[in-house]
Amino acid sequence: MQLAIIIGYLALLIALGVASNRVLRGTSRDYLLASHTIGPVLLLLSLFGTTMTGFSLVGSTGEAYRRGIGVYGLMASSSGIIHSLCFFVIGMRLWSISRRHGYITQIQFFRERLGSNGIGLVLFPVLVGLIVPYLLIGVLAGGSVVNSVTRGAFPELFADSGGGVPNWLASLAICLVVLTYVFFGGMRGTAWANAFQTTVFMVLGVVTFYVIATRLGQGDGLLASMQAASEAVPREKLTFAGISRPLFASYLLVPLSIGMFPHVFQHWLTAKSAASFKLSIVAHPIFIMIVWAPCVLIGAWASSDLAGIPDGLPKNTELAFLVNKLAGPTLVGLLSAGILAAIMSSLDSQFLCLGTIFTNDIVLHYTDRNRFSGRQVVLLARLFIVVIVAVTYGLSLFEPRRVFTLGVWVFSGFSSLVPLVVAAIYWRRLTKAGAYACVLSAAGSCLYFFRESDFGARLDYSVFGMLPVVVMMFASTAALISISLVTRPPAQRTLAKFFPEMAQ
Amino acid sequence: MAMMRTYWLLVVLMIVIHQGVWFGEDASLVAGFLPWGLFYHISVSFFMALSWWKITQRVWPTDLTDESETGFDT
Repeated sequence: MQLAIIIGYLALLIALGVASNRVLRGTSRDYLLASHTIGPVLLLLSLFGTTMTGFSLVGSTGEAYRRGIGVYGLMASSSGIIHSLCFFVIGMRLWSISRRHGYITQIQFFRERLGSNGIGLVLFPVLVGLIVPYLLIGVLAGGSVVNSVTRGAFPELFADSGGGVPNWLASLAICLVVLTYVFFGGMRGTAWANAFQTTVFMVLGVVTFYVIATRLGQGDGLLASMQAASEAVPREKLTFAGISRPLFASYLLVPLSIGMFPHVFQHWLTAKSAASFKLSIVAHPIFIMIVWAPCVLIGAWASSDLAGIPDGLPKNTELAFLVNKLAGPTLVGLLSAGILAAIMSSLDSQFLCLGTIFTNDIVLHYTDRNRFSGRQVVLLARLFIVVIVAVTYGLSLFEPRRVFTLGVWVFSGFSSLVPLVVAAIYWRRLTKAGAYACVLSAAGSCLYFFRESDFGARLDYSVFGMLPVVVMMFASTAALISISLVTRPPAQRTLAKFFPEMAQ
Repeated sequence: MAMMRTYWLLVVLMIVIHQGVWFGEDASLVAGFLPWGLFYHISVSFFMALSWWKITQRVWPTDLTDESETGFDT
């Protein structure tokens, strides 16, 4: 039954993508940016859906199960400050500059701002190298959720995977569904699907919380059940024990990554007007709270004996385990669809943005732009999306890391690039040499620390008791400032273009 | 200028409120089910939304591109 509901939900998404294809205008700008027609509500829902990933639902529950409720302070409330700050300080400015000059991707902006073609060739592999593991988070989480909720349903067919749909098959199905609606619908289809999926996972998230809360504690009513569930939680899981102050402070830098996500940049550009950002800026902290607080509380409850989480339960499956244990088959199907909605609402934007930057920043940039019609550009983007989906799926078949750990590494890499975008918008003295130094320092330090942590295997890896992101950001910022100051300032013409108030 | 100062003060205040209060070992429960640390940080989320609402009301930039200015279609 649960599998039938999940399949029905996936079919609905494909239909949505195909339906949005009917209103496509046939131009690349419409396929990639929905012709800048997205208003405040759709922008909020699509941006929020994009930023909430497997990391937020599956990862947060799993991490709270292991570390307790401090996870909320580490990632959720900190994101409430930083995400809105990035929308306000970076997003609106980039939207404005890009509207004025017709940019579609981050790399186009940096190339012109720095007067350097080469910066694109440096940024492209770094951005792709960071976004692919981010995609992996969603693919891995989706596969493990479907496997977990279908366990025991097919004892003979899938005997090797506990009688559930194997992770590899579930991940493949999810990749194909997302690929299909992105392929047909482009950014408009993605924005529609994201808005729909955000609504689905927020509503079903509340239902999930209610079901788990009432059935886990088994008290007389919701409040009594929640009280019983919380009282059974080991004391240390109800506190910030095990999280040092320096570590807590360093987590504040992780959500800064949103300022350099290429898929979020692309969503920013879909906005109809600057005023469209207002709702996203104000409502983002509340939306994060609505999703994260129940997940973190459920994760803490999962650590109690009431939950009966078996030893050796596969990574990232605690939430799905509880849903499967406490809800009936129909509800399990619906709640699983809700979890998958959160996961897929990020995958789609990430796939689309990779297709966009490959088409615009590599193919069109290095060939004669007039050789391609609008439809051919769309076709190129679609073909690259297919390649990226295949590569990501192939990587997901290797040994998975914990979703939360993988997420923190990816976000740290993007955070260490944020000084570049801030300087490009606000600092006239930024030079192309400074930009190269910043990107190379960020990428180099990220690779160094990732290797030192045994490629993410050392879960408690820290530098001076803090996340490596602190050192990475310090290195990239120091390189950017010092090299910019000792190299020749940008041309007056460039400054006049990007700082028009100076020319007046 | 004074408004911009207020904006940055609010951002700093949000960070101080987020970082400044610590529930290291406090395992007590609000209403018998919500750990204090989680309750505090949920309250912080509401404060942030309120602060961002104030900021968007008071210091909304006026030099951004108007929606009538569009890029080119390809």
